[in-house]
Amino acid sequence: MIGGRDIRIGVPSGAAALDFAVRAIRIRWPGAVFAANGDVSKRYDDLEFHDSSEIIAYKDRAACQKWRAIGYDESVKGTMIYLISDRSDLTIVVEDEPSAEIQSLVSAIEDGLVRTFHLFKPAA
Amino acid sequence: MNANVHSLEELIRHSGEGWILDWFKPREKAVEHLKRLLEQVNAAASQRFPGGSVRLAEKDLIADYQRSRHKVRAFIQSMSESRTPEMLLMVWRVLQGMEIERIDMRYILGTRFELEVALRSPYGDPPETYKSDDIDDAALIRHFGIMKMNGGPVFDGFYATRSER
Repeated sequence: MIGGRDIRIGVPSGAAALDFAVRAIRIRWPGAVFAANGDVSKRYDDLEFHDSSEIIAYKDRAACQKWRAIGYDESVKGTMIYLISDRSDLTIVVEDEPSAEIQSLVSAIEDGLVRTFHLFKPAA
Repeated sequence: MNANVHSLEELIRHSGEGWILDWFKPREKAVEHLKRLLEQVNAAASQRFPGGSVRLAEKDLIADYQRSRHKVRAFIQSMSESRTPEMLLMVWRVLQGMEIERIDMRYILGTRFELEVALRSPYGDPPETYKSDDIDDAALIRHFGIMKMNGGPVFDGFYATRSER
């Protein structure tokens, strides 16, 4: 992953959108592990959601350990999503060339945010 | 940054939901009503979870507000819509992370309303089922997050439906 690709979505509440994205990832990746403020949280209810938060979602514990030990290589492709909330937007950072699974997950989050929060104008 | 709130009334106003207090009739009874309702939800939690693992007293709500304001704001909105402690406990459990496994709703014009929500834990805790026959509780459904995952329907999470006023 060189640089990564940012997908920015305008939302009424960055914290709520971040929460929504984390929950969507948890549905798609039941073994997901989340990290925030440098700490790896085992559970969703360990996480705090604010208008200015960053959360890293790993597909599972093994992926988390590998990412944190060696960083990116081909063996961890498609196993991490980086989420950044601001007061009025959510940024989803994925690999430059995301896998089909990641693309599908990001689409589910984007579409879900529109359905849930009635968004019609994603930020440019 | 921590919000400077010390009471349910301060919490409601700080969250932007002060209209709930202002529109209540009679207005001077609003806080009393919401405090009593919260006590009933907390009692329902104590009954269902006797070990005290789920607590929803005023101080717990204030503490959670510091961690994730949008969740408490969504819960406050639900308190303006429902008077069923069991269903409000369901809302809180979803906000805590329970997943919505099943929703059954049955409605017959002028005769019957039944709502049943089954929750499952992603962490292996026992499943939970919540029931209501009060149509006011139908308003809670519109707070659920909606998505399609791999083409399949998913309700997940509980969110405020109105912008801050």
